[in-house]
Amino acid sequence: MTADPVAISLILALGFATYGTRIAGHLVLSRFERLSPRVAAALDAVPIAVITALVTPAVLASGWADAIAAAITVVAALRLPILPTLLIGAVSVSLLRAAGL
Amino acid sequence: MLVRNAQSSADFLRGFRDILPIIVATIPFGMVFGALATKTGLSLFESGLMSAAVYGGASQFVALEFWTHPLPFWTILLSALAVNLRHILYSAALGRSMGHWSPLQRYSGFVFLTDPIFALAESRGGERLSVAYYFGLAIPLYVNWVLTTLAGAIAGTLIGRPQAIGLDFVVTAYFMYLVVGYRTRPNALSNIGASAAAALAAYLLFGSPWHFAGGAVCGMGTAAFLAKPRAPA
Repeated sequence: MTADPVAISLILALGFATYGTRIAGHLVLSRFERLSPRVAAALDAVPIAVITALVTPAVLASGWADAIAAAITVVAALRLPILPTLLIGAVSVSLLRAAGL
Repeated sequence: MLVRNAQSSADFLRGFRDILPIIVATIPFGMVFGALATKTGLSLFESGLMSAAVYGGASQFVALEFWTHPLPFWTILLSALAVNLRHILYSAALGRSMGHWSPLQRYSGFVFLTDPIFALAESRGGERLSVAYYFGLAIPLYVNWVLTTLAGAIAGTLIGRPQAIGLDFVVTAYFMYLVVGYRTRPNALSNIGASAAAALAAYLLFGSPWHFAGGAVCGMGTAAFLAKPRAPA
């Protein structure tokens, strides 16, 4: 396989952007005495908001098999550690898809 | 000097002991990422490069989610950047206990600042974070992530149809597990609800990738709106 220059440059750009977030707090935020609570709350909520937004179509707009498996996964996630949860999710989605849902 | 070196090795080993359970738990994720990257069309080199250069599990899975041809460069860059914005808070917090580090130590240390490294360095590193302890946490986890990615990428070429064994759903389940884990944070349920509602509406009205931006902005806006003005930052 020949190297795809667009893919390589995208990966490197992702790396630089991520490193940017890892030094930005120290370089910029540490100059402020204290962060506004609203800004801090918004930054703190980014992972929840972003990841919820990302999975929503996969959960609610990808057919019954995925939606039911997602509900099972949430119940598992409330009670179990991560690896059993992922296993239960994968097994239930493959069974439900095989059942033709 | 000898005493200092002995102290450093002890600190490094202490870090290694603390990170070991996380390493064991991360092995399957590295492998799933590698396998999925292969299935998405990344070469072995590209998969390994992504884990080495980006080194952030959730953002790497997000990048794969949007990885199609031709590559939507800005969609992938902005969505992965959004997922990683939380690192700004980590480096702001952790930088305070790195006052005695040299700039080289500090700026190479930030390369490895992932969620588990931050959590352990904050909770067990103390106010005067030991350089050796930090790198004892950071280097083994990093090496493990890159190596398991490569192992998964090689194994991925052996898997015929990832959908049949639900491999594609593992990523969805992983994201859902993360969201469920956030439920105890302040206003988590309203953030999740706002984000999901906006994402679904944007997805049905405008299609991908607008669900991402719409849900992210609404979830963050809800968090900012509901934040208590005097809550500790």
